[in-house]
Amino acid sequence: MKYTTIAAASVASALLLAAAPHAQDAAPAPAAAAVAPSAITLDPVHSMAVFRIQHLGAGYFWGRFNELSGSAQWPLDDSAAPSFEVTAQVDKVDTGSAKLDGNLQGPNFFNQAEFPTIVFKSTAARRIGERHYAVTGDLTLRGVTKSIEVDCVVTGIGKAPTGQKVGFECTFTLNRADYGMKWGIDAPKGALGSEVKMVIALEGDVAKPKG
Amino acid sequence: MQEAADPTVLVNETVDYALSVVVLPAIVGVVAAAPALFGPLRRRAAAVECCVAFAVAIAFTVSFTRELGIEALLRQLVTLEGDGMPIERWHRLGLVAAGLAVVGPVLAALQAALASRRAERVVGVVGAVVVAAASVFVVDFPRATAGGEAMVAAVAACSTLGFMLFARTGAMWCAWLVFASLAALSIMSGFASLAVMCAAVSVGAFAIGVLGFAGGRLTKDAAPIEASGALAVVLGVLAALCAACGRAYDMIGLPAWSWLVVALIPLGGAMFTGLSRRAPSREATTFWRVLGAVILTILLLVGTQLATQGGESDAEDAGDPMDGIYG
Repeated sequence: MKYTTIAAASVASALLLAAAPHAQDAAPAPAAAAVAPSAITLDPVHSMAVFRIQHLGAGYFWGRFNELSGSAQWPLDDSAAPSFEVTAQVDKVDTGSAKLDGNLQGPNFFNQAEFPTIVFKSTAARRIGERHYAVTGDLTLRGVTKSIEVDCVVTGIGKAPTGQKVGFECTFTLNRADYGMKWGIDAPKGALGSEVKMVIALEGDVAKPKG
Repeated sequence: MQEAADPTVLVNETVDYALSVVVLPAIVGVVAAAPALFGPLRRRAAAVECCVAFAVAIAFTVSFTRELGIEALLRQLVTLEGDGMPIERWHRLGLVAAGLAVVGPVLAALQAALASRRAERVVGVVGAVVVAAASVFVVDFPRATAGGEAMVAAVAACSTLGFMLFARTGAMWCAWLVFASLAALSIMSGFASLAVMCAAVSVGAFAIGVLGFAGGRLTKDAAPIEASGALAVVLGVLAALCAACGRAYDMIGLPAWSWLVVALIPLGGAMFTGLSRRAPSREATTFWRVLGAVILTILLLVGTQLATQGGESDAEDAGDPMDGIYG
């Protein structure tokens, strides 16, 4: 009976640790009594990913993925780094031109028919400053999964009639050829840049504590 | 930061790209067909059909590998070391084209071994149905249903039979129209890679048609370029699969009928059957057959353009005309 209780406690502790936000491998967490991480459900209306790419070696054009979904975990006292699982639907790409959206959804780019989602799952994080983290995670795009580092800032904690809201802004740059999206880099050369800058704006609802 | 682009450099790079993925594969196709277009082989109908069928399939395959890299073809067959890219289902089109480069000549040789013209035709028709069904089974495009796949196989068989209508070099003129139309639809739907592959076949078919016509004049007792089986199978199956692929990945939303009609353009050859039967010469027969395909092509492209214009705003039309191909 005693051993059973200890074993159950160990399993429960392990599960709690696994569910906790990422350990910070650079700066230690503040010494004050840590607040439990809050589960945050992303609000698709106020969460989006904006991307920037160079066209014909000239201007940068911007597009975005609307209605990101997923979840995050972060203790509101900033005692630990956040963790994320975010999904973008390729059919939510929006450049302001339906024709260009169709092109981007096609096989030369995101290939929506075969790879309808883009997923980011964080795996680790390190503190850079106050409410500022370098989050490492796996980005799955066009069926290719690669580890990337994302610069992530907690933009604020707000209040709504329904409860608390938290905002994050994450930025990173990727080379689209790494994900098999090579059209327009070498052939036709310079039609579209290889480097894509991403800015991810996330806003989520903090789950109310139980009881 | 990338270097500032000089417009003349960009034009040169676009030309280089077109040469690499359209013109070079077409030249490879013409070189493959050349031995049977001129000289002693031109007197043997089976050799002509065998080489031209191979030429069409190899032009598509070379364009595919120039556009996507040989890895896109190889990773479907073997595990490539250090290759982290997934197999994209539409890349099986390249595999089917490579397969047709083998099946075409084999079918031509089989037909040549048969004693009667009728048996030859039967083998051609049966070959069309079998190859169409097998190819559809291999490609397996996204969102495909059993009914949809059966329809693609039926369209491939009908397209093959349509190509069989054409005498002399008529099948090559028809192939030029079909694959040029496929390239146009692919550009309209934002599928640039498929467009260049179809353009390579179209240019190759046109060049083979011109050289075949010249070779026929220069060679005594020259056999015509006839699509009696192998060539019709290669052209018909490839056209139907390209159309099915274009439809499966069309995110712009061209009318579904456009992708169906484009593969059936060869049946336009039946439009003036009465006139072609009464034609005084085989050249005149070819003229009436090709005219039917031309009319169907014009109706298809104009109809598609009108159908898609309805949903576009003037502001979008006024944009960069290269947007369609340059993202």
